[in-house]
Amino acid sequence: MTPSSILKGTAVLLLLQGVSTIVLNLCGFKFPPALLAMLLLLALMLRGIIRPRTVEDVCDILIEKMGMLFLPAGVSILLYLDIIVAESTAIIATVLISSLLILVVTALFLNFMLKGKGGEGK
Amino acid sequence: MTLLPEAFIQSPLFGIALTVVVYVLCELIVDKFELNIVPPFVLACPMIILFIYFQEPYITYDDYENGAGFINFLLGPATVALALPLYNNRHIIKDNLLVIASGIIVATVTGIVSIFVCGKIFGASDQVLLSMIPKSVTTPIAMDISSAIGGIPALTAACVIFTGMFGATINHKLLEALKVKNNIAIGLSIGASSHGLGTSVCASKNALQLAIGGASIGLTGIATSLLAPVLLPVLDSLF
Repeated sequence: MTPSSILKGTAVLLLLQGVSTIVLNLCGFKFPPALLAMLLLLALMLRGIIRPRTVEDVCDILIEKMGMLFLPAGVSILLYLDIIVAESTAIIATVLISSLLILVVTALFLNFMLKGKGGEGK
Repeated sequence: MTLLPEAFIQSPLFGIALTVVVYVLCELIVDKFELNIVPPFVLACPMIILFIYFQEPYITYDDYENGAGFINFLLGPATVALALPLYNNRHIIKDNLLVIASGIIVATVTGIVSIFVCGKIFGASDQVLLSMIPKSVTTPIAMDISSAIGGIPALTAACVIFTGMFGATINHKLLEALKVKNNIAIGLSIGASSHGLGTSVCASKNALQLAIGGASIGLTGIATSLLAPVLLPVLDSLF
């Protein structure tokens, strides 16, 4: 990890995010710009146009320390405390029930799909 | 009352310093007491909230936001960075493309429908309901989806973390009880239901689980941002 590899990687990420924002803005399509930039980066790496080495260092840092990047958003809960307290039962119940449902439905579905594939992934 | 001078509170330095210092402090605490399943975020977030809450009106959320906005901005590049784990897992994804794609769609549809129905049953307001829709998606993408469909991104972030902590504690036990042993099924369903926090537990279980889980996080994000705007009006007309 070198200072210039981090700077180069950052330049690539920001450039792609900028391009995505401009493109989405021009065609008026409602899609998260960062997500489009992610798909672009993935496509460019798969085509061999951007080497994974170029962005590896900065991506690793951003992903590993992502928890810190959520903090400002988490703290802004402060602004919505009354809504959260008022609807805490609905929030907790919904989160718990739907998390269990997603896990169980998906796991059982895949277990069924992969059954014929004899041992793959075991 | 606060002892901090106004010049400091009103500069962006305040929000940035508070975020970084408290986060590093919480990382040290998690390390020291070996609280492995507790992400530093979970400790740091209430600390900063309390710090500001007890000093209002001398320190307001706006003072904090003034600097914290810079850190919040980095969530964009962090989302773009999620392309790297997808790239690193490209062979596994390619080899199991059909199974993975169908699994992701099943997970995403189950998520959106179950959250919508539960929210309605338990009487959540529209704004709260919409904020919960992307709760199984990794935080930066979830917040983006939330603001696109009319939710509160901050509340979404809280629900995402709550989901992840719950998943990290219970996922493997539940799948074991259901006798699901296929690692692709385990990794994908965990990544799709409790994103990075849940998937991090796979690291200690099995490499394939971890790889599929990592791919599943990014793919669920893409699927949710595409399917939520399509499914929500349909669900709305049904209930």
